Amino acid sequence: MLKYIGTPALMILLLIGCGSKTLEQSYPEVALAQLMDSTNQFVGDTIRVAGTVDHVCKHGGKKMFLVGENPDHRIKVTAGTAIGSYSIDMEGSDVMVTAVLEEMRVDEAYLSNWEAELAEEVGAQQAGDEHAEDEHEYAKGEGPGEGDGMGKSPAQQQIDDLREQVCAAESGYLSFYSLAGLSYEVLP
Amino acid sequence: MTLIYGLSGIALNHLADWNPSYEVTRHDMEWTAKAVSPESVEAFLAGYGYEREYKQHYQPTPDQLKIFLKDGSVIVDLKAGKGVVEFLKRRPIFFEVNYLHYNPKRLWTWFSDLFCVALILIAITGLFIIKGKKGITGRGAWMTALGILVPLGFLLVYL
Repeated sequence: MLKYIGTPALMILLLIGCGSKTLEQSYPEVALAQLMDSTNQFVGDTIRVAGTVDHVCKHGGKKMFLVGENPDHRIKVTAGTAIGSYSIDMEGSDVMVTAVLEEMRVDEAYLSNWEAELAEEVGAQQAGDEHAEDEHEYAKGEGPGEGDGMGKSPAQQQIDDLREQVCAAESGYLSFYSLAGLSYEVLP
Repeated sequence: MTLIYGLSGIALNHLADWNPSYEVTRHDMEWTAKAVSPESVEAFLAGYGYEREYKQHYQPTPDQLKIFLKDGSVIVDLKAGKGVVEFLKRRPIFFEVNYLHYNPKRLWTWFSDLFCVALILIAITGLFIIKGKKGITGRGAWMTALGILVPLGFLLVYL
């Protein structure tokens, strides 16, 4: 009885495995340099991108950064549910990721919301809460409590700088791009 | 499961004090080569006995060199001629429980949700299992009240 179930089951599993590999290879491969030059063309598309893993987030491995031959070409890749997390062992390895390009737009509404969150964090820190989270990873300052002596925190400075750029942008917003990883393979 | 979340909970509660998943060791290095090349990088690493750990290198900026090693990396300030090597070693037990705590896969998320539901059931039904003066009408009432008042106190003070 088992051999009548086992063999077909094995064949089905093999087919599923081969099928997913074929599906991945059907997505277009985009060079990182081309992606950085024409990012807005690929927003929402599933693409394959190769690069060197420059950094993997040490806490949870939920994101990593790929860098290309040009060190200015650097993009964040988050780990989707199918991936789970990236291993730190991947740092320095060449990988091919299959991912969806996402765009985060920073406009005045976003900045105002961020300022409001910052004000709450300052209040929480003053109340002794040491675990206020900063989800705005673009503001890699030391935190809302530490200032530059002029009373402005690094995060607030970043908001002000971004606000200037938003005002100068014709579209009224700034775009930050990242890849939502669906799968990856380490290249030899 | 309780041990997994208990251990990882303590470990991750102190993120500000330590890296809960990796033991990090750092050493200072000196860069004396005039230029960056595969040969100068290899010689640099060989001077410290790390040449077999080499994976790749690149320059994030003209004044910086980053060398990837197995289980670590080196950042060199080329102007100052100084570098720092950082090695990461997985902490036994902690690495594994933290990995699970971070919900690596959807299946694990479902399984751990189920476990939490079971914990809630145990917490509620456990209130009524013991009868008499050690039960919910006796000592149990004090312990339950404490279990509610302590977190409530924190919320009232800090929220």
